[in-house]
Amino acid sequence: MVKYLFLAFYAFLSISYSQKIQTNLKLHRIDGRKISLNQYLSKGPTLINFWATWCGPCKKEMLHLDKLASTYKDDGFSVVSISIDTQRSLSEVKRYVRSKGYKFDVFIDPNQQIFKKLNGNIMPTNILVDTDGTVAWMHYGYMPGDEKNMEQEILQVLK
Amino acid sequence: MRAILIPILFYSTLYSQINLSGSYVSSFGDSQNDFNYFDNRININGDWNNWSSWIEFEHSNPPELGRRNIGLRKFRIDYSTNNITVKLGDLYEFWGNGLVLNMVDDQSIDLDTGIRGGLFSYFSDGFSVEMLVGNQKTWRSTSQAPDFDERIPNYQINNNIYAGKFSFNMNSLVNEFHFMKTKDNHYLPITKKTNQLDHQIYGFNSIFANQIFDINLEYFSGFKSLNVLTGILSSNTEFSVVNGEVIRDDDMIAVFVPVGDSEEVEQRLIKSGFKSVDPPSGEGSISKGISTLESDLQNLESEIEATGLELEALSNRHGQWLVVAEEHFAAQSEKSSLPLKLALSKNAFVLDGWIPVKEADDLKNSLEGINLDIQFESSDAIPPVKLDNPKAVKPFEFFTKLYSTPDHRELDPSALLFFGYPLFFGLMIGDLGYGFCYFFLGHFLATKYKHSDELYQLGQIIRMAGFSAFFFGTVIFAEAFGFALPFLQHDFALDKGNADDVGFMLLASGAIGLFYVTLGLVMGFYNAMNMHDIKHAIQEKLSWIMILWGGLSFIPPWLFGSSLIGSRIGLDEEIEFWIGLSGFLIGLVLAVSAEGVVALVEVPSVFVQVISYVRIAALGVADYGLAHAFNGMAMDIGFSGVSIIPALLIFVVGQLVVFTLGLIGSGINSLRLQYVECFPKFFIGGGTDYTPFGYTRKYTHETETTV
Repeated sequence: MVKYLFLAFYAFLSISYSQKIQTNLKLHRIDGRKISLNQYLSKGPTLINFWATWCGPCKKEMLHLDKLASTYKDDGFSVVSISIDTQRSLSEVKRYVRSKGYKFDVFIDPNQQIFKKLNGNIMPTNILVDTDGTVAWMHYGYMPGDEKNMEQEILQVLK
Repeated sequence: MRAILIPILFYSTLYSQINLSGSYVSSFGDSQNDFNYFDNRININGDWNNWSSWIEFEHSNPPELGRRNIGLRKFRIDYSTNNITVKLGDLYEFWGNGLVLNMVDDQSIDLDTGIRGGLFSYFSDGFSVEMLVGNQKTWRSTSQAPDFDERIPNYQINNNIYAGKFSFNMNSLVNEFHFMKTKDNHYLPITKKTNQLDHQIYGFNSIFANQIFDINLEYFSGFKSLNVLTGILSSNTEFSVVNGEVIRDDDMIAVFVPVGDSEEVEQRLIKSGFKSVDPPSGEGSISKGISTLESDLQNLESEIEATGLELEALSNRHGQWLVVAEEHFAAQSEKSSLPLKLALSKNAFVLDGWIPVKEADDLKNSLEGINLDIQFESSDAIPPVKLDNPKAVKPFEFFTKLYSTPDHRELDPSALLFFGYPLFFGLMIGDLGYGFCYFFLGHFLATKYKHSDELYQLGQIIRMAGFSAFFFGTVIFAEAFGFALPFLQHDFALDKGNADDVGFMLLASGAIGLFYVTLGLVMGFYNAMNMHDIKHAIQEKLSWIMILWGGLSFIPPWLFGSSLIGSRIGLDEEIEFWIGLSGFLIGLVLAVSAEGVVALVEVPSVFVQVISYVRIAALGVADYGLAHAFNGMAMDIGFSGVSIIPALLIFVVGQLVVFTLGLIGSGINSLRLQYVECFPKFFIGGGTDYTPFGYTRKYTHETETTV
């Protein structure tokens, strides 16, 4: 076991050297279609946001994500919002998204495969990915004011 | 395992070819009722080009729920391109909204429905195919089996699964066909036998998704139990209803509520800053309507662009030829229509028209040798007017005609404008720097827009005005851009910041006004003699000269106690007073005899018109003050150590403001002093422009060819 833990520790060390994600991840969009992450990354940097209907801070944050998505849309920036609600809550996800009228695309990940793959642990999880798949910024949780920091990071990537 | 992992990790660190990331979750519980647990899970994700892997290690001894597990728990290797995905290992898929396949791994309730096997999927924009083969082992707790413990499962279901999915997209519809076959190995603890069960599922599901506002227009109204409130509400304002639905898009909001709640909801909306907007009337899908309109708009924009390019190409190809042809045919047309203007017989024609008297002999000589009978006659009809000025004065004919074309018996005021406009402008601006800039602005207009008569003349006027400002700025005011120029200073230089000098400037401006108003009246006297007779001239113009000068001679000593004119020309105060009073009264009598008692009312206006010229000094000081203020601000900031950039910014913006205001303010006022204060004294206008016979060619010339 100690050896495995050592290997795991080594793996964490390597994170600091190489943080890239697969750009051809297939995502389930809320309308039933499967979309490749490449479709967004080919236009510009993309912010992957994990949220759930039971997560209050996630919902507060989404208002800012919507504004950021609209503000930097012309620069190629996109927001990919992935709900990790279970299959039983999917109708609530659709209802929530429909009532808010967000501009960004909303996806579902009910078995949390994408969430795990991108090392999500805490809600909300935000991952800013550059066009080549490099993780430019990663942030867990949301406190009012975090959106300013997020905007700075987006601007940094857009430069 | 170790032999594989260590080189992978090592090389990933060195070259970053393989991207590794991971997460670690640990939970620990120590309870007095012995519900203790110590869960540790490490997830490691690796990516290398199109390959990715996932490994989960677990060290749960005991876990919160479930069976004890130490070691590798899950693994998977994926190969994924844009169209193809192959997965081998532990799979968690989600088909048919979870109704066909819903594999989850929820450790909080110890539920793991994952399949260990393989998956192949082909994916394109229009359709996708997925095939899955694997084995599922699900653990449950049952009291029917030995060793029952609700915390630790004791019963396993073992399934072999084969499944396929085909999905295709139709606009807003996503359709999926599913097939799944399972072979379940059900262990029955009571009989201690394993039963094999086969299941087959054939499924079809269709998901319809469309635009948020994609409802038909007719659904916004006409309900008995439902009210729809549509309008604008800031997107920053939260709004929700308990019984109803809110749909928002940016600042637009549509609230669907029962009729009974409608009033209350509307009041709440209004309090939140809601502005009602009636929903569009009509029928059919909104999104389709918008799409149609957007499509039409796009087509029109494309059409405009295409037409613009076509026009540009035509202009490049034929423009010059068209201008020349238009001129040529216009000349031909005028020539062809000439017989219609003539009194024409079988063998002769009669042509009459106006020519300037001094050109009569030239015309006669040039037509000598042709069988023509030329008769010169005077006429009572009002002849057209052709302004005849030296080249330097020509540009000012533009200002003259802007006011009115002079009558043929009147003096042409262009020369007065030529003299006065640059003088007033120059004195108002009185700055070497701005004068220089105005000169070049005028020069630019005069050279760049030579093809446009108006712009060319305006350019020439601004160029002269600029030169005048430059001259007075150098000789009299010794300043540039609001800064004093010490090397140009002399004893008679005027400082716009000095009260005494400003006083002198105001007085000098008044003197210019007196001169100009008098000059206008003298020219008016001449015109009146030409148009009427000496009596009219005396009554209408000399009278006002006497009122003006007489008034200025006697009113100041009488009203203010000091002489305005007499003391400056060495005239005795008493004599000045009586001469002035006599002249004023005689003038008044003459004016009343010509214009009636209205003349009494007009007396103050002649003095006001003189005073109006004081604006020459006032505007000069105002422009200087503005420039001085901006310069001062810029210098203060620049030298205070803040930064040179804001100082430069203030300086540049300030100078641009002064430059623009100077051009507009001084330009208009210089003209106004002529049009309003001086012209009415002598100028009536109303003449007709002289149009020469024939067509004046601009782009072509006519060559006579004899064959």
